[in-house]
Amino acid sequence: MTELMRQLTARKVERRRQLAALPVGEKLRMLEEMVAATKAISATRPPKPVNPVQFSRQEIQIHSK
Amino acid sequence: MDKIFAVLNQMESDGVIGRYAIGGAVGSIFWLEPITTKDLDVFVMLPTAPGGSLLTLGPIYEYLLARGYSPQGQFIIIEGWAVEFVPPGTPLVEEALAQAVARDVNGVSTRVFTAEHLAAICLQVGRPKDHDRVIRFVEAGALDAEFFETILRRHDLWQKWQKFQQTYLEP
Repeated sequence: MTELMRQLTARKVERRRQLAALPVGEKLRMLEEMVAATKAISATRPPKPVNPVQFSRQEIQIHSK
Repeated sequence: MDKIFAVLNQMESDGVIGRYAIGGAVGSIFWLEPITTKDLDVFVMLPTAPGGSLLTLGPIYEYLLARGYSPQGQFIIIEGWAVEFVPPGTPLVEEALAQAVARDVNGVSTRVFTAEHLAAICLQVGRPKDHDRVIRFVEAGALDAEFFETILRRHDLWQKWQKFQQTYLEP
């Protein structure tokens, strides 16, 4: 492991310790936020796939004008 | 989430469940940094019906459904959270439940497995995410080494712990 990687790992562990030291109520509130954010992502529908043939015809029409 | 703890305390007072304690990922959050999860594991002693020895979650469902909460698979949705009621399935979990400690969350008291029991259960279950959690317990300095060792030896997990240390904790 390089010195940089060691420093990054140490920083990550230290950050985890800081978060672990927070009051339980605060940590559970953070969990609720994380879960709500995850639900919001899964509730966002991806756009419908484009029909490539139809799409290229539209492109041709636009460029031919 | 403290609303759920209030519901659990009321269930215990009403005799629907016996002693309960929070385990799983949410239990770990009491000792570690917040980690994401989608459910809440509540370990419960189930009161047996008079004259019977069969343990059933039926009374829990009846009680909660009557109060407007809805079932979803093996969970019951309480205050927006999927809550699973789990009777202790191993001597280790039984001990964890018996020795769970009281904690206060925003003025509501609840009970949670000790960090040492949670780590021992993770070691026993042994999925990759459980191994990751054991490492977090160690890195956070959340474990009392003597107490943890006693639990591991009592539940025949000492060798597993030695192997785990060699694999994940030794440079």
